[in-house]
Amino acid sequence: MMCGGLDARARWRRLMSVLVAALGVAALLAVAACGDDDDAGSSGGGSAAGEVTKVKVGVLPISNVAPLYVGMKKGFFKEEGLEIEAVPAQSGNELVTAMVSGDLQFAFLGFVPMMAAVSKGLPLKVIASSDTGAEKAEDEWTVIIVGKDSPIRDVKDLAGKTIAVNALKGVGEVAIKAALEKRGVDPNSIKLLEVPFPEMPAALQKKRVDAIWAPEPFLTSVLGEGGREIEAPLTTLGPRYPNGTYSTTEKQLASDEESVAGFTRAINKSMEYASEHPKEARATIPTFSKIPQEVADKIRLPLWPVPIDTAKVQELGNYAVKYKVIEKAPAMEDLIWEGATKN
Amino acid sequence: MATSAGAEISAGRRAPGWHRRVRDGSALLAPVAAVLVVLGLWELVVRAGVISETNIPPMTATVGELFSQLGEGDFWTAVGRTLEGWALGLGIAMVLGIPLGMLIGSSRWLFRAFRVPIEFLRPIPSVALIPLAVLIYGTGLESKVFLAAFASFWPMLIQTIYGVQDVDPVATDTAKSFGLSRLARVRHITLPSAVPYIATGVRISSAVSLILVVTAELVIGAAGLGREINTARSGGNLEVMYALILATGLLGYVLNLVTSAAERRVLRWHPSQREVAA
Repeated sequence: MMCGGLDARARWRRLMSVLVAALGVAALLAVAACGDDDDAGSSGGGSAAGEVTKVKVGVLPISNVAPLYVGMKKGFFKEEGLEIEAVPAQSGNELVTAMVSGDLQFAFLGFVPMMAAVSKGLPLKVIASSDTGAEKAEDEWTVIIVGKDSPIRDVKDLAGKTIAVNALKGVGEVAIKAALEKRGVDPNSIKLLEVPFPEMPAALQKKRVDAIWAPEPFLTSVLGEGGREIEAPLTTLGPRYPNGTYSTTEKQLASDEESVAGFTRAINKSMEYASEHPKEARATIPTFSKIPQEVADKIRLPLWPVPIDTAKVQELGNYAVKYKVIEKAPAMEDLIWEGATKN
Repeated sequence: MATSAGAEISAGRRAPGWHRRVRDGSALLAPVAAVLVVLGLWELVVRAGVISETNIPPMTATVGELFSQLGEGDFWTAVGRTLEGWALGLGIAMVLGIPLGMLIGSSRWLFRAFRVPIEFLRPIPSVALIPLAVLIYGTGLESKVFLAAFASFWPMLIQTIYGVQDVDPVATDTAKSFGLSRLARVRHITLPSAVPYIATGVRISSAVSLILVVTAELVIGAAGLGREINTARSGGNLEVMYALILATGLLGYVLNLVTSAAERRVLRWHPSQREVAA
C-alpha cells in the first residue's frame, strides 16, 4: 500500500475533498435559498392596491374544502388580489400550530378545535363557515355505521358499545355524545376508540370496534359492502349543523385586514358557486385528494351555506363543555371576526 | 465452468471479463427469482382472500397503478421533492459529520470528551423531534431536512471516527519518521485509511436520510412521496397508496445502487476491491 501509486491515491483524495466541499457549498446555498423563498412567501402582509398578495391556506385533503379549489379555479381569489397556495396538512392540531407560528395565513379548521384554541387564548379568529352537516339524516356525510353482520339495528343498541372516532376530545366525541343523549341513549355508556379515518373500515371488519363514525369516502365504501347506517349525529343535533370554519390569525388581521376581507368575500362566493354547481365541485376533488373521479361522483357532499349560524355554534360550544372536550366555550365575539357573515 | 476458468487462469491466460460475466449472470438470477416469488405470493394471498382485497389490493393492480403513476407529472414532482430533501439531509450530514469525525477521531482526548454526548444524542429517534422541527421550521423543506440531517449525521460521524481510529499505527509512525507534516500525514495516511469507512458511512446515511425524509413527509405533510402516500390513504385510494409505497422502496434501491457504485469508484485503489490474484 505504501510504495507505488501514491499519485493515483493523492488524485482520488483531492477529488473526494473537492466533491465534499462542493456538496457542502451547494447544500448551504440551497438551504439559504430555500430559507429566503419561504420568508418571501409567508409575509402576506401589506399589499398596495392592484398588487397580488400571496397567502398560504392550510387544508385537509377532504371533500369539505372543494369550494376553495372551485374558487381558485374560477378566479374568485384573483379578483380580490389574492394568490392562494393551498397547503395540505394531516390534522387540525397541525393547522393550529402552523397558523400560530405564522407559517399559514388562513386555515380550514373545525369549530371545536377553533373553540378549544380561542378559549386557551391562542390568537385565532373564525372568518367564515367552511361546511355544515346535512339537512336530512340520509344525506349526512359522517355517519355512525356498522358492518353487514352486526347485531346492532337501532341507535338504542349503541348503548355500551365501542365506537371508533378519528380523534378523542374532538368534534366527533361532542357530536356523538350530544346526539346519543338527544336520542335517549346514555352517552357515558359508550366507549370511544381513537382510530384514524382510513383505518376505520378495517377496524370494523376485524371487529375491534362495534361501530365507526366514518366520513366520506369511507362511508360510501363500507355501505357499498353491505354496511348499515345507524345514526347521523350532526343531523340529529339540527339541520345544517356547523362543522368547520375558515380561520385566520390575529396577526394577519392586524397587518393586512384587507386581505382577510378579500379572502372572506372570495370564499363565501366560492361556497355559493359550489353549492349551485355540485358537479364542478366534485370535479375538483381528485385534484387535491387521491379520491378517483368515479368515487368523487358518488360520495355525499357537505353543505356549504355562507352565514355562520351563531346560535348553533354557541350550542355546539356548550355541548363541548358539557362533555369535557373543552374547558369553556368562548364568547361569539371572541371567536368570530366582526367582518364575518353571520345570521 | 468454474474449473475451466480456474484452468485458464492457472495456465497463465487471464480471462477476468469472462469470469465476471458468468459470475454476474448467475448472481442476477437469484435476486430476480426471489422478487418474482414474493410478487407472486402477494397476488396469490390477495386473490385467494387470505388477506381481504379491501385491505390491500392485488399485486397486479398495484403494479399497474405504479406504472400509470410513472406517467404522471405530479408523481415525478413528488419524487423530485423527496430527492431534494434526501440530498440536502445527506449533504449536511457529510459536511458536518466528516470533518467533525476526523477531528474527534484523531484526538484521544476529544474522543473521550465527546463520547457521552454522542451516545446520548444518537439514540434519540428523529421522529420524536418532529414537534420541535415543526415549531422551529414549519412544515416545509427545512423541517424535513433538519430531521433527515439530524438522523444521518450520527452514522456519518461515527463511521468517520472509527475510520480515523483504524489507521495502521505502523504506517503513522513510518510517516512520522519520514518527516511528513501533520497535514501531509492526514492526506497520505489518515484519509486513505478512513475513506472506506467514510464511504460506508455515506451509504448508511443515505438510507437513513431517505427514510427520515419520507417519514417527515408522511407525518408533517411536507411535499414529496410521503405526503402523496398519506393523501392517498386519506382518500381511501389503496391502489395508489401501495403503488407509491412500492415507488419509495424502488427509490431507496436506486439510491443504494448509486451510492454503492460511487463507493466502488472512489475506492478503486483499495485492496478490498481487488480481484483475487492468481
